[in-house]
Amino acid sequence: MEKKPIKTGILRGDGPPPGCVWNVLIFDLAFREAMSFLNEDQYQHLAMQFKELALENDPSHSCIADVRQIDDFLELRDKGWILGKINVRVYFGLEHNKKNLVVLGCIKKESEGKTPTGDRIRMSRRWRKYKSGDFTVNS
Amino acid sequence: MLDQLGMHNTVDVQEAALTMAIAVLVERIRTLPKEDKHDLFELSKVLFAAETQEEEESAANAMREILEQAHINVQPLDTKDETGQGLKRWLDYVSCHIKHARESAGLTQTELSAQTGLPQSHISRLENGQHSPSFATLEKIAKALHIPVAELDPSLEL
Repeated sequence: MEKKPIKTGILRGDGPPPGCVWNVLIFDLAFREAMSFLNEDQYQHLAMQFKELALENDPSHSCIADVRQIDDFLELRDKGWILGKINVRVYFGLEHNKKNLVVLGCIKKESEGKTPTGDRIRMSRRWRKYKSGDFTVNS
Repeated sequence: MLDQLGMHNTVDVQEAALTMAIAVLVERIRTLPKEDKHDLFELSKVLFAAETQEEEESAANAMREILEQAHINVQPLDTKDETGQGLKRWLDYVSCHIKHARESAGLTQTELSAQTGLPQSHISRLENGQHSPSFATLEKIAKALHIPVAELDPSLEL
């Protein structure tokens, strides 16, 4: 019986990294916002949360983080030791067809409670801009 | 110089600057995309009705961002594997305490996984110091082990 040849090659494209379900992208605005009140360790802690979310089939119903739906995007809430007294909210959207998890922005909340309306509108606008293709990708 | 411009004092200068600023603002608003105009209108209502400083600043920041019309750049999230000293200390502390608390409760990782709803692989990464737990995760683990969450997160005792 003739053996079938084994195809080998390199996958080219924008698919998620090996083992991940989602690519994680971040707005430059979100990065600047985060670094305005987080130190390097705190930033890495939050980046780790997104690295874990990227492993999940449905990050909108995550079991490893407090993720809540706001309009058509999502909010990750976190606080505690490494974050000190900072009550942080990170906003992100899921682009299902391209499997992109897009971090839109980040705020420091003074108290528990819902996202201030101004921030909700600001993040909603950013997500709208992204979905309409009004952005540049820096690799 | 001021006389040549028909301005006789600083009040005149301030008036002229204000008139110019308003003209620039009106022109900027006029050229905004329709959806941004709508957002700006909603935000102005929020700003005037704000009852807290947080709400007011939030609305003002959003209005500023719309008026600036800055271009958006997107890049892959940098999730480098090396961790800083502060995060490493936290990972060492929390991984050790989660493992100790689980073993004290007489549970295996699989049993803790069943009680918390966290994947066993996630619990394993936490106990090996490979992942920094979110507060939500610490709460789930503490609840399952019947211990105060402050036992896993000393910042809550402060």
